Amino acid sequence: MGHETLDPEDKGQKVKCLSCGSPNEGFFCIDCHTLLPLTRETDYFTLLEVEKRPAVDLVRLKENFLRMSEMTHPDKYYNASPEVRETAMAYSSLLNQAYSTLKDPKERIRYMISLEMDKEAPVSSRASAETMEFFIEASDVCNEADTFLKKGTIREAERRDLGDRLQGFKKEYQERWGRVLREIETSDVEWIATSPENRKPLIRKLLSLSHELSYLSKLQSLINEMIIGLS
Amino acid sequence: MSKIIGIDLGTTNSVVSIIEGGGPVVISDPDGQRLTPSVVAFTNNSEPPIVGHAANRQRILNPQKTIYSVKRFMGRRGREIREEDMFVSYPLSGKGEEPLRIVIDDRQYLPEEISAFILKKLKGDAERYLGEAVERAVITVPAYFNDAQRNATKKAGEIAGLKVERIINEPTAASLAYGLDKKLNARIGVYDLGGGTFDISILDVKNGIFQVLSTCGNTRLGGDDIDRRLIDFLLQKIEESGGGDLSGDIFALSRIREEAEKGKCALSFQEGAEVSIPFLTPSFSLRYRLTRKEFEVLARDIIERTRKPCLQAMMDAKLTPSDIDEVILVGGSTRIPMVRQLVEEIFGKHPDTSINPDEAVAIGAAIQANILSGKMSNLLLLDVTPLSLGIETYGGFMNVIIPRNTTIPTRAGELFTTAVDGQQAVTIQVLQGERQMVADNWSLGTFVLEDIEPAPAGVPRIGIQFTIDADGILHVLARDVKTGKEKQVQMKSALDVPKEDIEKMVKESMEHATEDAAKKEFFEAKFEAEKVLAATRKGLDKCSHLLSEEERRMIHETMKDVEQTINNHDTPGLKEATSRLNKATERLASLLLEETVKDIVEKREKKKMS
Repeated sequence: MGHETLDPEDKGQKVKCLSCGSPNEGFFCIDCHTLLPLTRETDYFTLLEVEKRPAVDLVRLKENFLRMSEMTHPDKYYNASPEVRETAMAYSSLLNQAYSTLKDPKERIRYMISLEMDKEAPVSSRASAETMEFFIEASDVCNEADTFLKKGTIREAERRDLGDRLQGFKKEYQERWGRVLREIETSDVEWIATSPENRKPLIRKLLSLSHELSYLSKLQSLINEMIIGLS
Repeated sequence: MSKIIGIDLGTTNSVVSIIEGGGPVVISDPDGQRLTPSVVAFTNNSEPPIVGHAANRQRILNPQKTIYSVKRFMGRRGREIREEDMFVSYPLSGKGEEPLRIVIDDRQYLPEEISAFILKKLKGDAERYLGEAVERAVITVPAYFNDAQRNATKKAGEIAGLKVERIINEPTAASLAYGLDKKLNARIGVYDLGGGTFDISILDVKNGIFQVLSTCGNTRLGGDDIDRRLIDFLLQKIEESGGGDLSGDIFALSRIREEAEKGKCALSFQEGAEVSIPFLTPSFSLRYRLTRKEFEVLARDIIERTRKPCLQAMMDAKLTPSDIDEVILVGGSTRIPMVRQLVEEIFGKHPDTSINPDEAVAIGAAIQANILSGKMSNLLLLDVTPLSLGIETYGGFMNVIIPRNTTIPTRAGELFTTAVDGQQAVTIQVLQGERQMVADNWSLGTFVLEDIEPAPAGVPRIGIQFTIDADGILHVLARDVKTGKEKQVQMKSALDVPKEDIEKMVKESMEHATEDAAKKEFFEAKFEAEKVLAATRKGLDKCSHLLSEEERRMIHETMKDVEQTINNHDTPGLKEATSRLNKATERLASLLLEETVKDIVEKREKKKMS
C-alpha cells in the first residue's frame, strides 16, 4: 500500500474552492466551508494531528479521527457537486487508511520509519529467538487443534485439554504483547531525546519490535480462530 | 428533490419506512399490514405477478409458481448453493458458474428480477401513502453480504425503477433506529437473526457517530433453516402415524411448511402448539402437539451456529463481553426464547428487546435516507467492509489488499507487472473471504489489464486502485504508471451479464444458429492454430540451432500454410494445416521441453548457492 508523502514544495499553495472559487489553504474553504480538493499530499500524522513519534495518544487519535470523519464523510456531501463528492470520498478514504495505520502499533512504526527513510520500511522476517520459539510452540498446538477440528469428532476431554492449552498461550501472548508495547514506549522517550541524525540504532530497534508484534498478531488470530473453533 | 424511502428487503418479510416530521413511520399496505411477505406469485404469463400477502395465500395452491426466500439466491452462482437450499417448491436452473435462475413456465428470472417485484410493490405502497411519486430508496442488506450480493440488490432496485441512493447494512440500520431518540453513548452489539441470514455487529456510539468496530455473520442461517428442520420432523411423524412418505409431494409440503412456521411462532409465547392439517392426503389428517422442549431439541444446533460469529466479532473488535454495554435483538427469529438465552449466555447480559425486531431495520434505512437528504446532520454512520478483499497470487493463495472490518469508504493501491517478456495483458482475479486458498473464497470475477506496451518481464508498472464505496461495493481503477493513463476496469463475472444482453444473445443465437455454428468452428480452429503457431515461434527462438536445415524448412513452410488458411477463412484447410504443423514440430517440442527443464534445474542450483 503506497502512502502519501509530505511535499514541502506544495505547502502554502492556494487551492481554488470547487464551490465558490475562493483561493484557500487547508482542508475547508474559509468562505463557504466546502471541502477543498485534496491536492496537497500529507502524511498520516499531520492529517490526524498527532505527533510523529513511535507512541501516540490513542484517545486523542480516535477523537481526531471521528471529528474529521464528521467533516469529510461522503454522506455529508451527498447533494454537493460530483467534484466535491469525489473530494469527500478521497478524504474519507485517506482518513480511514490513516487511522487504521496509526492505531496499530506495528503498522504505525513501519509507516513512521518509511517516512523517515523516504521509502518502504524493509520487510524482515526476523524476530527474537525467544518470540520465534514461542511462535513455533503455539503454532504446533494450533495445528493440533486444527487437525481435530477438521476430523469433526473430538472427545470432550481432548477438547478441554486443547482449550486450556490455547488459553494458556493466549495469556502468554497478551503478556508478551504488553511487554513489547512497553518497550516501544521506552523507545518513544529516547526517540524524542535523540537528534534525528543519531536515530539509526533506534530505528533498528523499533523495526525489530514491530516484527515481534507482527509475529504475535499472526499468532493471535491463529489462537483465536482455534479457541472459537473449539468452543 | 423527491423523498427517499427506506426499505428492508428481507428473506421472509419486507418493510418500507420514511421519516415524517422528524419521526419514523412504517408504511402499511392498503389492508393496513406493515409487514409484506417477500413472496411473488405468478398466476399466468401475461399478467404481472402478485406480491405480498395475496401471493403468500397462493403458496399452498400453486407452490411451483410461488417464489419465496429468493434473497438466499441473490448474487449466487449455481455451484455456491447447498443442496438443502435448492429444496424450494419452485424450479431452479443454473449450474456451476452460471447465476441461479427461477424457472416460471418458459421464462427464467434472475433473483434480482423477483426481488424487483417486491420492491415495486413497496414503492407503490409508499406512493399511495405519500400521494406522490417515489423514485429513490435506501435498501438494506445483511452486513455479511459480499460484493456480488450487494450488486444484485442494487440491480433489483434499479429494475424496480428506484434510484438506490445507498445500500446499508441491516444491523447498522437497526442501531440507528435504536439510538435515534436516546442520547446514546455506549458500546453495543446488534444480534440480527432473520429468516435467512445472521449478522452480528459491534458498534461504538458516541455523540451521534455510529462507528462499527466489527461485523461477522452467516448469510445462510436463519428462521428458514429452523422451519426446514420442523418440516422434516413432521414428515417423520406423519410417516410414523400412517400418512405415508410425503417428502416428494410439493402440495403437502407447502401445507406442512405453513403449519410448521405457525407452530414455531406460537412456541415463542407458549409451551406447546397444536399442529393440525386436515386432509393432508385424502385419507390422512395430521394432529400433533409440538412442545417447546421438542422444538428446542430440533433447533438447538442451528441456533448454536450463531455463537462463533459473535465470538469472532468480539475478538476482531478486541473486546470481551464485559466491554459491551448493551446487546439489541433484531430479526423475527430473536423472539425464540432459546435464542435469547444463547445471547445472554454469550454476552453475559440480558439482551435489550425494546425495539420492534421486524421494523427496526427499515426504520434505520429511512433514517439513513434522511441523513443523505441533509436533514439529520447530527448523525453519522461509519460502517466497515465485512470481508477481506484480495487478489489471487502465485500458488493459488489469496493476497489480502483490504482486510475485513476496514472502515469504508476505503482505497488501496497495488502495483502489478508482467511475468513474461513482451506480455501485453495481465489477468487478475479478485476475491473476497477469510481463507488462505483462492478456492475457499468467493471469486468476485476477473479483470484484464490490456494494451500493456511490450517490454521485458517485470518492467511495466500498472497501478490498480481498489475502492470500496460507502455501499460496500468495489470499484477498480487501473493506471499506467509510465503514461499516467487512467482507466476504469470492468470486472467480468458470470453474474453481471445485463438482462438485455442475455435476451439479445438468446434471440440472436436462434436466428443465426447455422451461421453461428460455422463461425464458431472457424474461431475454434483459428484459436487452436494460433496456439500452435505461438508455441512453434517460441521453440524456434530457443532451439532453432538444434534442428536440421530440412526440419527448419519444413516447419517454416507449414507455418506459412497455416497463416494462409487463417487469412482465407478456410476452416477445413486450417484444421489440416494445423495438424501438419503439429506433426512437423514434434521434435522441436521435445527439444524445447529438455531446454526448459535444464533451465529450471540451473536456476534451482543457483538459488541454492546464493
